[in-house]
Amino acid sequence: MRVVIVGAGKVGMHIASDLAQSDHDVVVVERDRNLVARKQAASGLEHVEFVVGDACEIAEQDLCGLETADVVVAATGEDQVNLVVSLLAKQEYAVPRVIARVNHPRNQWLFNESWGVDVCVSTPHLLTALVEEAVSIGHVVNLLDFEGGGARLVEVTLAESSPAAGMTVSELRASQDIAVVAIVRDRHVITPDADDQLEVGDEVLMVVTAEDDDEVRRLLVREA
Amino acid sequence: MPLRDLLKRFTTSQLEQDELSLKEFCESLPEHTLLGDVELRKLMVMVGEIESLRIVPSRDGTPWLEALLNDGSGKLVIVWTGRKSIAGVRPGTRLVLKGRPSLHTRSRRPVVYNPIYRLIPVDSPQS
Repeated sequence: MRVVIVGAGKVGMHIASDLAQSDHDVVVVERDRNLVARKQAASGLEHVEFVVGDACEIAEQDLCGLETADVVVAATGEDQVNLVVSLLAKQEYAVPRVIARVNHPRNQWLFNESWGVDVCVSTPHLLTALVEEAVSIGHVVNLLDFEGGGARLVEVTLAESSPAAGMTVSELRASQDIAVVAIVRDRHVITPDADDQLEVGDEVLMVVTAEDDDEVRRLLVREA
Repeated sequence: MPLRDLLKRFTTSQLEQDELSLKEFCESLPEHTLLGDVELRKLMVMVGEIESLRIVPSRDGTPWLEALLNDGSGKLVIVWTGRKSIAGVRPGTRLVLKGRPSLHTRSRRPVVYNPIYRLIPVDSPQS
């Protein structure tokens, strides 16, 4: 796979070296000539190709070979740069998959398909989700948004008061557009059958649509 | 008009005739790629007639104007983001556009976002 990464900061370089190690074709675009020189000398990045240039300029994007890239990762520390890179990659170069880094959580609402972003990654939001997951039994925790918020992967650890405890998977499905993806019970992953019964303490992973959030909460969590 | 052509004219439907004349018109224009031969991710010039127009709300709520372009050999989706209408762009409008097509996930047709385009005047000589 041919991956173009914009930004040779810590995030960009980490992705680059990881991907290069798994034999992907990696190009890193960076404005700062000195930074590129330093990174080129560093070890573990022998197979990474560097391009010095401003990825927000169409003329320079031709140099990075965006028209043949399978994935573009906008990983700079500036949200405005990441957005412009995403927009150009998607609309001018028809890149199939555009991934953008959100630096300031307040800017996250902008990282959507209008700006050419397929997937956005925001470290603060990710951390919040992980913290929530650690502290909550009986809360619906949002783990991942697919397709710009159309569907999401959520996780619930069933509390004793949960209305879903004792229900079978098919009963849960009948009441709502919920795909139960997996049940984790006693450290074992169970692929759910229609007749599997949910128990207190189960970690239930589900794919639901964004609109169904309240329904899911009503079904799986008893409101206090 | 030879008898054969006359016969053909009487036996083909209006729809097919329109399609044929559209194809003829598009093929007569110089230097462009037929929609049936479009290659994904290559910068190319295309022509065609707008067959239908619709406004599709994107997930973030902004309107996207979606046009289906036909040149008799194939079809292409044009998307103008953030627009509800564009002066001169109506069903039946013929235009020349330049862009890099990608694959439209919903319709599995090639799609071009916000292309450079030029409307072809209805009564223009075919040049």
